[in-house]
Amino acid sequence: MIHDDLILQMEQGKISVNEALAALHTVPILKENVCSQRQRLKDLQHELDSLIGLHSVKSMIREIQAFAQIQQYRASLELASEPIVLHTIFMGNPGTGKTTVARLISKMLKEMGVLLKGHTVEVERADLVAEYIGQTAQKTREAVKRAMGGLLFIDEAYSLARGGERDFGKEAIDTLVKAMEDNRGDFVVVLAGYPEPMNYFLTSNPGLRSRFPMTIHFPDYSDLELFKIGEAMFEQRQYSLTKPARRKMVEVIRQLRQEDPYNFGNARVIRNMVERALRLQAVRLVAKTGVTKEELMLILAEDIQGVTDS
Amino acid sequence: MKQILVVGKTNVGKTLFTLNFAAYLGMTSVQITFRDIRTSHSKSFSIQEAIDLFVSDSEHQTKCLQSIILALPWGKGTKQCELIDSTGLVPNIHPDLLIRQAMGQTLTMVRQIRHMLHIIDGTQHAQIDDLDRQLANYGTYVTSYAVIANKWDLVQSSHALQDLKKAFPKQLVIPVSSLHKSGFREVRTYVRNVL
Repeated sequence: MIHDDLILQMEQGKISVNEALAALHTVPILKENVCSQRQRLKDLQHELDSLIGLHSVKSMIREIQAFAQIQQYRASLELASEPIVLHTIFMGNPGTGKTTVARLISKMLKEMGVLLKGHTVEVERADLVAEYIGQTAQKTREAVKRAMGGLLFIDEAYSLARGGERDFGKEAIDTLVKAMEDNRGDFVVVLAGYPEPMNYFLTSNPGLRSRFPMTIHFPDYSDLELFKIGEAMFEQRQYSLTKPARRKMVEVIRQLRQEDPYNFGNARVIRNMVERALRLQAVRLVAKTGVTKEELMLILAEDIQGVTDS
Repeated sequence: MKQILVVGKTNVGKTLFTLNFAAYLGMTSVQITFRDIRTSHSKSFSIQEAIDLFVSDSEHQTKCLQSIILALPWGKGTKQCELIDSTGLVPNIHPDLLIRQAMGQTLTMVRQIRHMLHIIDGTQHAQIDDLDRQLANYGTYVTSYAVIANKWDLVQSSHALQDLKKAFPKQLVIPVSSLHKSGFREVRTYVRNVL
């Protein structure tokens, strides 16, 4: 952009601030665009920061953002710049925020000018692998085409290698790798999945591993973080918890985690819990006459207690 | 959140104005977000600590954008806005690359911002130079703009305000003394209008 060039010339000591300011007057102001773009990026950053927990994820995303910005800046100064390869592996248990973060990253990369569209195409094995010979490559290419300018999110990516050597999943991986080479910088691939099968999948496909320079680990949420998530979910839906209900919620979270620590669904469990509690509150209130606005907004301990009853 | 840029030549008192205006609004501490061309980070300071650290008689004490969040009483609650202090501008070519880059950051912000407080040294009321005129010209492009004539406590002449109003005929001119926190009432009215 012209005004960037003028500021650059001023920074390089070729023109004075006065000259830059005078020349900037003559350049049509593109404020509207730049301003709203920066504002949108700021809003997205705020959205990311407001996600509860995920500290390591947030700092990793800040790294990615800083790296992308600096490489763009270096390129603008005609310095050698690293190609921005942002293909990433997301490892984490169910409900740890992988999909949410992927959607946000895609939008952020668009506002930073790295991606053209900033949409997210979420696929799994069935969207990439076909039943008959020759169809898998086509199906995968179609998914890649849809993701152009955005982010291709492959959930449970290890399922592509599920059927062994003769399975068409391998064909999907090969097609994907080729598309990544052919369309560098045009789209971002995120392979997501649970840590253990993901590690096995990547060690058995070294060619794939080397094409994903970054790995982001999504740790399990602590009980307190899950409580905060639940509280925020209620708040978003314009409900509030009584003190006993809050205590009960902490208890229930602990109980649910203890019942099945290995398959505990983190935030997904909390979302189900919140939705169930809302239904139980409705059941409690529906028979009552003259329900007040406050009652409609209040969740009691018994509504939370009922969540654990099957 | 609305953003207001504090801009002006070097050593006119932008940082002291920013911090003491926050103090005037009843804030005792501020979280300053430092944004240079590469990174941004935030740190909390008491107002006095921040003044001791960032206000100085030497030029270019502020070397990047430094913003604070102001909270103004609004109805039964408060409303927030971001006040962005910037690196002071010099009319000629500065010999230090880092300072030039910081000034570039200020100019980029000038191009993007919608609300601008242009700080000038009130004691220089009789000699408004090109740089200040250029910035005032920019004021016609933004949504809201005011000239803050700082160091008013040092102004001797009784015609000073008329001189300034002549020099900036289309703009709102507010005389203040950042050091003594005087004249801030009008600035608060300006900020409330922005919000």
